[in-house]
Formats: sequence, C-alpha cells, structure tokens
Amino acid sequence: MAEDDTVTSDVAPHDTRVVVWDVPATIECGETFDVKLGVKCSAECPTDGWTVEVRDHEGESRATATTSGEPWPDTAGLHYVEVELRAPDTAGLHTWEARAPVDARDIPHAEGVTRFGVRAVPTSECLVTIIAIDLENQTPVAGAKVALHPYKTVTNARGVAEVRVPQGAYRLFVSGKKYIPFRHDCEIDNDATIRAELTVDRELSDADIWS
Amino acid sequence: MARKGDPSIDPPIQNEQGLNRRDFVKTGVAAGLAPSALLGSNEAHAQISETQQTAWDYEADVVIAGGGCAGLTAAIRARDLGASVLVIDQNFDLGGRMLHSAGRMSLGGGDPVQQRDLNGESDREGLVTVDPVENPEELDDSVELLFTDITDWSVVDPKGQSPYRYNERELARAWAESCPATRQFLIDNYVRFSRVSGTHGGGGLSRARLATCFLMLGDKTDIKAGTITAEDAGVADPERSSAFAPLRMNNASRSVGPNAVSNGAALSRSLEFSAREKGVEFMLHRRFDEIVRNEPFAGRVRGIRATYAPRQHPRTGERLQSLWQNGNIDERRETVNIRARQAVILASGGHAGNPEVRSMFYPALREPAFPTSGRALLGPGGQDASALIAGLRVGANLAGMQQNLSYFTTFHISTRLGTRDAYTGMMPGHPTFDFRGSAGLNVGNAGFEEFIAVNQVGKRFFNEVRLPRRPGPSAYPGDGGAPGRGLAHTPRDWRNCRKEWVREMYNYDHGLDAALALNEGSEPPDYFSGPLWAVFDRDAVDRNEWELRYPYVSDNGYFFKADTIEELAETIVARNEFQRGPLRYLTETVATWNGYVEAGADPEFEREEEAPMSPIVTPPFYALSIMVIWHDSYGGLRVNGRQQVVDMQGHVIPGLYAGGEAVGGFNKHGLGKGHVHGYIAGTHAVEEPSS
Repeated sequence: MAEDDTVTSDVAPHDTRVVVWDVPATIECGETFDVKLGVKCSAECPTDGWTVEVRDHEGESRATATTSGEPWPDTAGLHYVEVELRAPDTAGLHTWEARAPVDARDIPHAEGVTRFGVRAVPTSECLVTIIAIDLENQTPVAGAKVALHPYKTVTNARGVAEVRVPQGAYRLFVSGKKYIPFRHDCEIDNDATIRAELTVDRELSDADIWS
Repeated sequence: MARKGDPSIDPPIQNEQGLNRRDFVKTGVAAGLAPSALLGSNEAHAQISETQQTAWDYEADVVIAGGGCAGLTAAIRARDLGASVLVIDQNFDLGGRMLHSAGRMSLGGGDPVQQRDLNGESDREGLVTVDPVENPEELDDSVELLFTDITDWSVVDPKGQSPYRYNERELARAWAESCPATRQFLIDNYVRFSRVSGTHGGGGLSRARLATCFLMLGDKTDIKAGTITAEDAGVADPERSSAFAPLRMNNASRSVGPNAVSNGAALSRSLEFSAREKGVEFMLHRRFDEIVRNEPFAGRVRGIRATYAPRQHPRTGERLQSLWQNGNIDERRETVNIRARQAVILASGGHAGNPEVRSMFYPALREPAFPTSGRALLGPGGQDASALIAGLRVGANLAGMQQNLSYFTTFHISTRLGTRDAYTGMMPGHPTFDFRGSAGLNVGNAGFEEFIAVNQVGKRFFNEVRLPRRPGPSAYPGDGGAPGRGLAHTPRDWRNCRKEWVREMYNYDHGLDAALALNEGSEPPDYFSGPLWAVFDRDAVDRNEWELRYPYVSDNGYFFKADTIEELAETIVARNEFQRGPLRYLTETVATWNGYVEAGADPEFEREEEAPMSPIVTPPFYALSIMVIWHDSYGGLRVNGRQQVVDMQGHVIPGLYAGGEAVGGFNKHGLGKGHVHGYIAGTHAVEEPSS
C-alpha cells in the first residue's frame, strides 16, 4: 500500500470465447453461404449486442455483425448472430477467423478469436447416388451419414442420398444410426449409383458379453 | 504333510484354552442348540465357556461369508445334508454379482440339460417348448472331455493369452466331475434352464455347454410356479427396474419359448427362495473381516468376525431392506463373532473392487476412478478382496494370480457413457439406483465414431473407433479363437498355438492401455491416469437421437453440458470427483480435431481409415465419462479339489473352504465356476468333524 493510501492492483480481463458453426462442408467457389457466430464471456457477462467480425485467409474483413438478444437454443447464454459470407473464387481449404474485438466496455475483456475452415470447391460434374440398405432386412436406412470427403450429406426417408462431386478418387463412408460404417473406395468419373448394405452394430446386452 | 481332504489326519484342533491372543475377548461358546443350531444374539453373548477365549455371538455348523452364487449354493447344499447354516453378506440383499448377471451358466460333462436337449426332451415342467438349438453331436459331452478342455495347454486366444493352460488341475478335475450333479442340484432348487446354446469364456472349445436361467411372464411372481410379473421382470417399462431384478430381463423366447424371460435374477431369486424355504439363515449389512483360527498359522478355523456395515439410501438415509426377509437375523452390533462348528466357507467374491489389490496385476488400475462392475448394486464392500485378505492372515496360499490377465475381457472400456457405474443397465425402481445416479447412455461400438475421447488433460490418446472393441472368447464354437471351429476343434493340438495361427487370429487393440497411460496430469506417487471423457456437440446428439435426459444422464459429475469448449473443461474440473487438474489442452485438442475433419485426415490416430469424422462445432458441447471396468477376478486363494483352502506349505487349513471369485487357479468366467465350487464346498464342509 502506498503512503498516500492509494490501492493498486492488476485487473485481468475476462476471456472472450467465440464459437463458429453451421459452416457448410463445401461451398462452390464464389457462392454465398451462411454461418452462425456466437460470443461468450468467461465470467458470464451478457454478450448480447457485441460486435463480431469475420476475416478471410488474407486478413480482409468479410463481415461485421452484432449478436442478438436471444441466446442460441439450449445454451445458458451464448448470444449469436447469423451472417452471410461469400466463398473464395479459388478452390481449396481456406482458414478464416471470427473475432470479437476489444470494445470500450465497463469491464475489460480480452479479444476472442476462433479460426474455421472454408472449403471452396469447383463445380461438380458427377452425380453420385447412394442407396443405404439394412443388410439383414433389406429396408432403406433413413438419416444415415454419407461422406465422400469433403462432401457430406444424409440419406432421405427412402434411404437415398445424392452428392455432386468432381471427378476423382473418393472413399465413401455410410454410417450412423447404430450401423457399422460401410466403407467403399471408388473412382468417380461419371454419374454413379452405389448400394451400401449396412450391418447393425447390435447393442450388446450384458448377456452377450458376460454370464 | 497332511493328505488333502482327509479330516481324520488334518492337524488336530488345539484347545483354545491355551490361546492368549490380545484380540480375542475372554468369553465362551454355547453349543448344542437345536433345531436351528443358531443362538439368539443376546443369549449367546451372555454365555461364557471356560474352555474358549472368543466371545461367540452366534454359531452354526457351517458359516458362509458371502451370499452370491458360490455362497448360496453352498448354503443350500450344506443344509440339504443336515447342517445348520448362517450366511453373512455385506450387502443389504442377497445374490451378489449373480443378481445382475445374465444368468448364463456353462457347465457340461454330460450334465442333465445337455442330456435333455440331446434327447430332444423338454424340462420336467414343460416350459421349454422350442426345439434344441444345438445338434445332438454338439451336446454329446463327458467329464473326461470337459476336463481335457479346461486344462488344454494348446489354446491361445485372440488376445494372445492362454486361458486354460494355467488352471489348477486338481481343481479343474473336481469341477468337471461335479458339473452334472450341480446342474441337477440347481434344477432341484427351482432353477429353470433354457436350451443349451454355445459355451462361454473358459468353458471349453469342444462342446456346447451353456444354458440360461429363465422364468415365465405371468400374473404373479411365484418361484415355485416359475412365473414373474412384467413389472418384476422390468419389461413393463423400459425405464423401470424392480427390486426383484435390478436389470431388465431378456427375451428368452428363442431358447425357451413364448413369454420366457431370462437373466441372473431368475437364477439368484430362485436359489434364494429355496435357501430361505429350507431354513438357511442370513445376516445382511454385515462385512466379513477376519477368520478366527486356533493359532494365527496353525490349528482349526473356528469361525469369523464380521462388522456391521449398513447400506443406507443416499437420499433418505433409510437402511435398505432385502426383497425377502424370512430367515434374516437383524443384528446391528458393531462386531460379532460367529462360530462355525464344522466349517467356514469363504464366498465373498474377488478383488476387482479393491484398487490397491488389483494394482498388483496392473499398476495403472490403482486408479480409483474406475470401479468394478455393479458398484451401485454391490456397494463399497463389493469385491473388496475380503476373502483374500483374511485368508492371507491365517496363512493361506494364493493361486492363479496371473490369470487375472489371461481372461480376454477382465478389464475393458464400456460403451455406456455418462455414469461411473457403467457396467449395467439398471434403471430407477431398484433400491440402489440412486447410488449410480444415472443409467448412462449406451452408444454401442458405432457411437464411438461420433466423438473424440480425451484424457484428464484433454488430449486424445487412441483411435476412438477402436476403443470399445473386444476380442472373442475361447469357447465353443470357437469363432476365431481356434483353427478348428465347433466339432472340428482338436484339443491339445499344437496347431492351436503355432505362431502362424496366432498371428492370423490375433485380434486385440490396446486402446484400454492407452487410456490408462501416464499423461501430463499424472503425479507422484501413484501417477494416476485420471478420468476419460467423450466430447461431442449438439449435431452428434441430433444425428443419433441420443436421449440426454434422466435416467440416462443426470447432474452427478459424469455428464456435462456447456456453451463453449472452455466452459466444458472448467465445469468438469469443478464437478468431477476424480478430475484432479485442468483439462488444459481440451480447447486446443478440439480445434485440432476440427482441422483434421476439414482436411479429411487424422495424422495422430488415422480415424479416416475406419469411419467418417465429424466436427465438434455446434453448441452446446457435451462431455460424458468413459469408464474402464475391471469386471471380475481370476486369482485368489488356493484350494484343493474339495474346495479346502491350502496353506503355503501345501497343507489344508482345517475347517476352511472357499469358492467362486475368492478362489484362484481356474480361468473360468462367471456363474459356472461359482455354483460348482459352492456345491463342492457345501458337500464337504458337512463332513468336517463338529467341534
């Protein structure tokens, strides 16, 4: 304590946490897409009305927005905003970032930064149709995950999914819904239909394992 | 050296008048009470004998520590042969692990159920209405073939271990010879068996020997009639267990007929009913502590000392009550001494619930975060090595301790997340559900592609998709475990273990070992590996329609939800009892993982080879506990073929028997071992001279 009774102390700013979600797995070059940006304070300060900025892989600002008053559903207080962005014209995986900059607030907050990938893809010429079938009873599997990296989708109620991809070599996975992953390595050079027969990962009862 | 099994030449019983042990209180024994031969506590406590120095509060011809599969069987067998029997158990109810088992019992040697199926017959009540599952030649068994199977040096399992090679041969012979009689004994005590189908771990590769215990759904629960209500069976409501059956009973229509349900409750409750009906007496909430022997390492075993250890409801504080009470002795004194006129039988289980003991086989499993199976049901005294510890104090030898490592799934990673008691599917309705707090979310093997698994510092440690996979057992029909499947298996054939074959069939991932590995949060002296966490996002929940609600998960320190990954890490540290430090790498790990997903390659663990990878980006974020479970024990006290405990000089300890998981030297999994041990022990205990 100083002789003039002045009290000095260091104040650590609160952490600012930025969350980015709903980024599409692939976006055609130059096309627009929507993402959600959320902001949270480490000390639970309300974050509605905070500014969030998106910068691209070259550091150029792509969007600036303000978080809304309603938190994202099922969260304790993650205020968010949805913004529209435009994919780069060059194909590839680009690393962008969302920033919640230091604003003039009563309580100091450190800047929050989160990086995320934006995969710009060329126009896809081949239509791949995947039919997911339960191997045992030969019925369609709805809601199965379909992945032909980097392309992703899910099967519809008829167990069918369609994905447009450029020509090339792919590894197909069809899985989820308690099925063991179906894997198929393939060369796609034209439209194709692939039948994926899925085996249930039967939930083991204790009887299956022990006596 | 005394000849084993001949009481007439066992070391003579010493006169306890000469004892001057500090911990023996000077008092006496009351004897000759009939017909129950059990003393009431007050009368016994008051009686003093000049010839004894132990205050005997109770006495019976045969005293049994543990009311599970070995203990109950031994109790009924001894009672059938005319003995008075007192069983003590640390739990509030009987059954031990048997009660939460699947009720599958692999015996054989031409046992009555094999014979029944071989002849295409039904059971004597006509409840089994489906045709035999196995062909007659698969059931054509003998004691000789069974003995050959369970001592087969040549079998090496898909984990590269030898399940039969190290079995104690005298013990195995006696077990094989007693299987047919034990099966009949169980049938005579209300146990109903399904059709035989296959065998299971440690039961041999040559014939089908396994049948499952069942009851029939009916209007009332009636053991004599073989019926159970849907409510008691747990099949009326998928989220409701019963006090009768802690686990929902399984549909047994394919191996019995319509309306049949099976699991360990069908076995355990039937035996318990019979034991109570026949006059076996029980003292529950009573932990077995000590064996009373004439001298610390000599003389006859005289009885046991046991401590009151009430199990109280975690919310109400009420003492839990057993399902049935007839035959129960309500004794609440802190310590009682119980005299055994003829024999003490140790059947209080193994050591899988005692981290200090199990650590001698796998030091990393001194980690107390990981319990044994059925922790809520059994309580803190379950599988606590009580028999092993007490046996060592009176000079007993050990056997088969290394066999803890030679059963293929002694310890494993559970697919049930979000509960510490991750072994069973017990639901609310059983009195012990609140000890687990949540039933957990069983995501199956396939569910492991939906998350990353991290250790106590928040780092991934293995390919998640491979974590729950388990090798198959070496049991009939031998899928993958032997070059010859089913009847084509040739016992004692060197081709079963030649290295070319072992290389071909080896099928074990060491994810569990990575889970238990040293990490940056491991600190001396124990270097605990700490808890494990499955981390995922809301998209994973939506994709899989996981029900993250009570009773599957609850706010009990094993399930967390947060708005950000950073908050998730902070919450786990604050509210999990075994999280000893920060998950300092979790945020970085998740960011790295999301980068792998975008790139389509996981250079650390090669997930892209086996399953699609999903990012962890959509709030809220979740962490559910992943549990390593040490299920059961294969090492324990050394016994001979009469189940008599043997000391380190090879001598029988007079008056002391043991069975089930308290015993070592037999790498046989589960009920088949315990019931036959109990049958043998009960048979020979009553042949001991009465003192």
